Amino acid sequence: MTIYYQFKKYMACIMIITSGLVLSSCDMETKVYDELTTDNFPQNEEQLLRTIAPAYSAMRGYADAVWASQTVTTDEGIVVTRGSDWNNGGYYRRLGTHTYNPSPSGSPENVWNFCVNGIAQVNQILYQLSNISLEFEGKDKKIAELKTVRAFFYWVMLDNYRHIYIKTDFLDTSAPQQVSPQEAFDFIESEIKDNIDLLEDEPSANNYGLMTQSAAHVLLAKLYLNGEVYTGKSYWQECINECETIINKNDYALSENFMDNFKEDNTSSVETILAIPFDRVYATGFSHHVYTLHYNSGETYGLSYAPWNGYSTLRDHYDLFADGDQRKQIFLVGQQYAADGTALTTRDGKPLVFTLDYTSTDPWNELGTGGVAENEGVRVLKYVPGTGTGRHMGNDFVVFRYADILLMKAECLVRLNRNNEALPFINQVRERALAGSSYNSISLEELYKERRREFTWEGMAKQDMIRFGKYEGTWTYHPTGSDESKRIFPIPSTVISLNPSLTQNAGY
Amino acid sequence: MTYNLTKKTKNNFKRLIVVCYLLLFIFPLRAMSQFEMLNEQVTVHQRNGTAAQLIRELDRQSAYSFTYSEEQLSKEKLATIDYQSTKLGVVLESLSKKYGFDFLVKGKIISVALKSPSQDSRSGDSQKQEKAGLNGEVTDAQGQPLAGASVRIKELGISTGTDAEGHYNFSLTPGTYTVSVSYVAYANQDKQVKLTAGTTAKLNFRLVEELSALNEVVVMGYSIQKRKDVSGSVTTVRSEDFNRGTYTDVNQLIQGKVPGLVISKPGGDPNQATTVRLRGVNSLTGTNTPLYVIDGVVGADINTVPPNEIESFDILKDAATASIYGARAANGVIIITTKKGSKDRTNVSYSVTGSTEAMSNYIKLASAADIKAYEESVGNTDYTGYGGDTDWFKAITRKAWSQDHTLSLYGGGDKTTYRGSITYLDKQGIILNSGLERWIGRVNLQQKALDDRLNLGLNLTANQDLNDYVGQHNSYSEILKNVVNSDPSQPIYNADGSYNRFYGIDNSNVVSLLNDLTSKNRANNLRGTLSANLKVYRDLTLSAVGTYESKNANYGYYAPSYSVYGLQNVGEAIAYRSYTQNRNKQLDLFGNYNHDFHGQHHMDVTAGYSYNYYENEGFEASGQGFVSDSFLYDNLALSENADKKTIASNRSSYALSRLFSRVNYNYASKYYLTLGFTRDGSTRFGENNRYGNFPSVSAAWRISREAFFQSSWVDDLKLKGSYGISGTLPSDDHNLEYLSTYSSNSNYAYINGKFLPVYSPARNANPDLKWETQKALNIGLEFSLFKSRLSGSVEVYNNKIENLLYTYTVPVPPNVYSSTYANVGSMRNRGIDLQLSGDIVRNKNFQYHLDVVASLTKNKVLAITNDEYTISTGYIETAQVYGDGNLGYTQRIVPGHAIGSWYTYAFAGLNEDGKYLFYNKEGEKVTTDQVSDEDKKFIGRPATPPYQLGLNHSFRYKNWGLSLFFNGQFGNSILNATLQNVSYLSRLPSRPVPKDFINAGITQTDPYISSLWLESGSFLRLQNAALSYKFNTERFHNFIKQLQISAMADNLFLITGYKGIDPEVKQEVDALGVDNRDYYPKSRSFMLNLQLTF
Repeated sequence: MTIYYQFKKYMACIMIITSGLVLSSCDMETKVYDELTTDNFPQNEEQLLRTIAPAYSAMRGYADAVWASQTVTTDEGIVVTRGSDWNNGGYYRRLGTHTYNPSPSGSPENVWNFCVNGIAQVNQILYQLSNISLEFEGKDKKIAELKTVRAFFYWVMLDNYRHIYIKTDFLDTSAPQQVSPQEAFDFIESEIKDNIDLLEDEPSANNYGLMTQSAAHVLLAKLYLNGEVYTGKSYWQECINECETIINKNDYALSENFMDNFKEDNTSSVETILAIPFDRVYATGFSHHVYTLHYNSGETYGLSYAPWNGYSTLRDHYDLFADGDQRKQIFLVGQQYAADGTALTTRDGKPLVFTLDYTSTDPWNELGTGGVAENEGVRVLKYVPGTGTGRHMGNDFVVFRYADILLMKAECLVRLNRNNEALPFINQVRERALAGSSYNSISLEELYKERRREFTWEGMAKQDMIRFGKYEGTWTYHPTGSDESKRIFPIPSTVISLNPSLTQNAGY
Repeated sequence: MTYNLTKKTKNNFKRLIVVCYLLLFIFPLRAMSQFEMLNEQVTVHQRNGTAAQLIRELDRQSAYSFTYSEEQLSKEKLATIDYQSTKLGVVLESLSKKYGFDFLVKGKIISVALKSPSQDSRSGDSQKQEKAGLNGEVTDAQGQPLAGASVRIKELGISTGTDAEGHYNFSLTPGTYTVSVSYVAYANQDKQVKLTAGTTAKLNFRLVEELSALNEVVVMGYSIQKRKDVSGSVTTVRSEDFNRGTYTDVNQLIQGKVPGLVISKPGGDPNQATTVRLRGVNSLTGTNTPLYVIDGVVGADINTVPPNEIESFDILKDAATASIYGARAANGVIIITTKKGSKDRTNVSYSVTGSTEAMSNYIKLASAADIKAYEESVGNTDYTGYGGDTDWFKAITRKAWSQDHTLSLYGGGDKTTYRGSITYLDKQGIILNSGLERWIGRVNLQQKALDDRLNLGLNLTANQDLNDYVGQHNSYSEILKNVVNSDPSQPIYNADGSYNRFYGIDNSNVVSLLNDLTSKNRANNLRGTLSANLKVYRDLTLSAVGTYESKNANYGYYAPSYSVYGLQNVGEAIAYRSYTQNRNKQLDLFGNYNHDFHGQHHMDVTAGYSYNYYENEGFEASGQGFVSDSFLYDNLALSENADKKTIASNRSSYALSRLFSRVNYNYASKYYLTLGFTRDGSTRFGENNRYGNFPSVSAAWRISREAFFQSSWVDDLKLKGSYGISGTLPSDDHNLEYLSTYSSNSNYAYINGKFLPVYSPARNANPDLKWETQKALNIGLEFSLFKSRLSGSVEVYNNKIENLLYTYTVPVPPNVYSSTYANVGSMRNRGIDLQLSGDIVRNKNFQYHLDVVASLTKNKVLAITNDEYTISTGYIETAQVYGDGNLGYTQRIVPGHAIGSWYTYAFAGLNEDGKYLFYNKEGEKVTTDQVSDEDKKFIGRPATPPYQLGLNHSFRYKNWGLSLFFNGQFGNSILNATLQNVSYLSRLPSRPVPKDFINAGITQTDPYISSLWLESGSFLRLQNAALSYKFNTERFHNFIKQLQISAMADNLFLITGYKGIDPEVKQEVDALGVDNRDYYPKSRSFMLNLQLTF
């Protein structure tokens, strides 16, 4: 009896002690192993740089979403239906005929997403930078840089949607409200101006791909150049001033060989002011070659990935180029050959000959009712992939380059009727492309064509066509008389339904 | 009646108890008459007095106190009494013999009663022609009164019921009677009684429980209850009622046995788990599978339990019973209890099953000859094909052989019982090179100690699964698409005997793929449970259970350079390997307290604490390009394509802690009330919502126990109702949704002259995240009639699920990303569960038993948005169908409609040109190019079958047994996406179409998605049949205890109108009822089983 009671006492003690021990190990803290929490990250500058990096990785979409929307809405590019490929529910027809609408897949929503994603990422990074106790040299510079990067996203948003909202405070969770195009313009202008002096001055290997003072000047110049389209008020002289600042700095020049700007190892180009660095493995997402090349063209370039045979251009654009123009090298026309010289064929065994024209009267037709043959259409390969490239190219995408500065300055001078002053700048660009082709006099129309030749498939065709009043013009397969409201895209309906205070752009 | 208790005994009561104990200890071994100790001397003289007078006198003279009924004893006239200085013991003994007094000495108290009249020895002259009384008490084996028992006087055919204290009372004419007492779940008892006029006989009955369904033990989670005492909704399936076969998933054992629990096995893949849904679909993104508790281990892997070693399944269906498991119980709880040792000599039991199976059905596609004929008929005279004539279904399938052995050893003594077993299952799949090999070893030890107050238990389970998968890495289903899409004119082999390795999109030589690719997994699982429970005091038991479980999976995939995937991949071989480990630590501390207050109030309290810690980690690597294919995935370092080497690892954990309590109360086994309260916490939620409360209440009324309810044919009738709250946790993919973290998705940006990995917020953190809440109401009626020949239950339920978790689109900015995981919507499941069980024939030699299980479930989505989160379109699109042409989503989740409601074009037949017609929204018939999204509408019946039926016939004739189990599901529409996909006329001749499609007059080249492809999913299947013979083992002189041989068959026949392979298709929430091209064909199997116990 007593033994039993004693044992019970011991048992109770043992149970209480073991229970206590075991219970103390029953903790309810969330343990995070393969992610980093705000408690332990970032703690030093190296870590901080990696949290700033999303602002730049977000910019990569410019070479894809923004580039495509600028290209296939114009006479510079077309995506035709080929067999069962590329109909995409009539998406490319809507872009090609300017019949985009706010519904899902009705318009290039990826342009909207590119802008708001970049803005949201930068807002988050800025909030985090302002809250972190970590101090390091150049923190102000990084903040200025991020704000200018954000201004870049806002500029793309203004360019494509016009009636945009401005949101800069990460903690402000209220529904964003639209501002007028002028207010948006003023915000972007002041944001750049307020921060430009803090940015890196000299181009260097260290700030390649980052938002430098020169890049910010180009951004301002772009804003001013299109200021009249955006606000109805012209800013030609302001644009000239920004261009001159860059020209006078003498940091940049035209590269000798036009195509060198776009080759796989184009990081060292003296002409590039702002590039988006891409890599086959690390920074992926640049696939113009996959979009445009024929399924079998991989053999020409030694690709390790079969291209998709989608994008091509129109004769309208091809015919702008004179024979001998260095810039004409970007087009692939006629019989295609493998690297070893054998003639390539289509998948059904016919010679792979890229034609100037399409035989179809409706190149965007629906699936199963005809379509465009595999080989039709001129292909554009400005960025030539290196041997062994897969789906992603290692070439850096050039956003701003020196030739643009020269042509922007020339354009503004012409618009201010200072045509003669403009001549040396436009001729500088022309001579590089085709020696001895200098203009003696220049008109706005000539200048427009020169821009189109110089910047084919660089993601600015739509913007340029609008500024020169050509976007509502006629070209192959593009119906005439489309209205000016289509110069800007509709705000996606899904965005408006989440924030009903937003007003849809007129015409949608 | 009143009892007199004198004052002095009252005062000395405590002392007396001590004396009693001392007496007990001093004379513990000597058996002696109770009167021998009464040595006091008394002197009594009495003439013609009453018994009461005599006892009063004795009480006055002795130190003992007498208790007696004044009323009774004062009526008892006595003859002359004369004792001179006689020992009290002698006086009492002689009084007892002479007059039939019944004395009971207890300490210093002597109680006095009259013996039953049957033993009365008094002379006949005291008999009068008046009524005789008969009363008594009916109790159970423990002495607890049984209220509502039926007491019958057989000779007179009259009966009465016992009252709340278990008493009954008759007034009868004198005579000899047979008194028969019956009470449901107890064995009937008959007693003879002789009644004498003017006297009252007392006849008590102590009933012994009968083994019946009502007394079956139901495992409730941390406590057990008897079936008759359960007020919630629990269904138990015992091993003798299991389906019999070589099963890879133990859920198949109870398929169709539980109303409301729909278990389906889409296809015959031995590596594919069953889909288990209890009372419908409860969650959009969380789990819809019930919570498994194996021998107390919450969330244990069901593949670790050998079917032969399972004692029972207990399915907790309503929230009131399941909510003791809190935040994970909304899909119900399935408790699996394994067999344990027994107090018996050592038994060796061996069971072996051999089986063979073959494809039961397939889709008849056009043969090479059919295609050639068609091509010629359309003028394509150039068509030659590739010279083969291959039926790809037949080419990839085989007659599969399987074996299943279980050897178990069990036994034990008073203190120790043990059971150990080894199971080996080798299950071939009917598709070439697919299969599962499984080893399970387990040991269960039970040890009693401390006068049997302490119970120690040890459970060890180890198992290994070797999975041989069909096909391609990361997408086992990819390969099966080739079966219906490959050109039948392609031969399997070239003329030289090598594989004809043709390939295109879903059009490849599947036979070479199956042989070329290696896709294998080795899973090891180890689980150990140590438990202790101590009976601290009479009614109180404290328990502690600790478990550690570790599961490792080692997966490898290899596609050689010459395989289709290698050829597509610039001719390089692909090798991949992954290793994952899941660990689970569980601790349960709980107590059970059972007590009866004043006989009729029964209380049963369970309370405790449970903690689970789950940790998952994984490692994977891949390489490409090897100098030899003989490495397989065993030396990744030798991959020669430097750019294609990948490496990754991950680790995550979460914890759950739970306080639970449940109080069962019943009054006289008649009125039941159960209150439950669970507080559960999970690290998947932030501080705001980390802990949640899950209360429940249930009540039952056993009408049949009421005194007013007297029926000779109703054994038991119980009305019950419950209401409770349970929850669903976010799935493993959403482990950290509440938390702000940084992660890098192998994304880089060029900063300061080099590519740096990008660290960005991993998600839009939602600190308000919480579990989905299910509020469940259950009302049921249980009955047992005609001495348990017919029993059953009907239950109706109404479950409302709130705070449904879903990924919502949110504005950017202010949010960093466009989607947030949040609790928003709500839906409802209503239904009826019906169970009937009857012994239709119950003879000594022949028995026929029928079980019917039926259920009805109706789902309705109530809301998918709230003030904070909206869905711009107002609906969620699901059930995406992939393939060429206009496909897309085919279902919509919209408030007011059931989940799985089809939303597509309404097919309107063919026009004169053989093109498809659809009804547009104006009701006109239009062609493909005239319809638009606005013409789609809700059509057909929702994808989940609302009606479930299970019929189990079991016959027994002498030693023969036969069971036939029919399983059916009815009332749903399923999308035959396979048929849709192969009905592309434009793909002829390179891909086949269904044979009867060629000349059906259809000219439309692409099979537009529409209601044409919706078919009824109703079916009735003879799921399982088993014929067994049990040998008479007496002749083996007990050397063999049991010997039985059985022949079984699975899927013997199927009645359905469905045109696909089988209507039992996948029921995953994102594609409910979509029969896709990746269907692993169903099989029909025949098995032979031998069971032997020594």
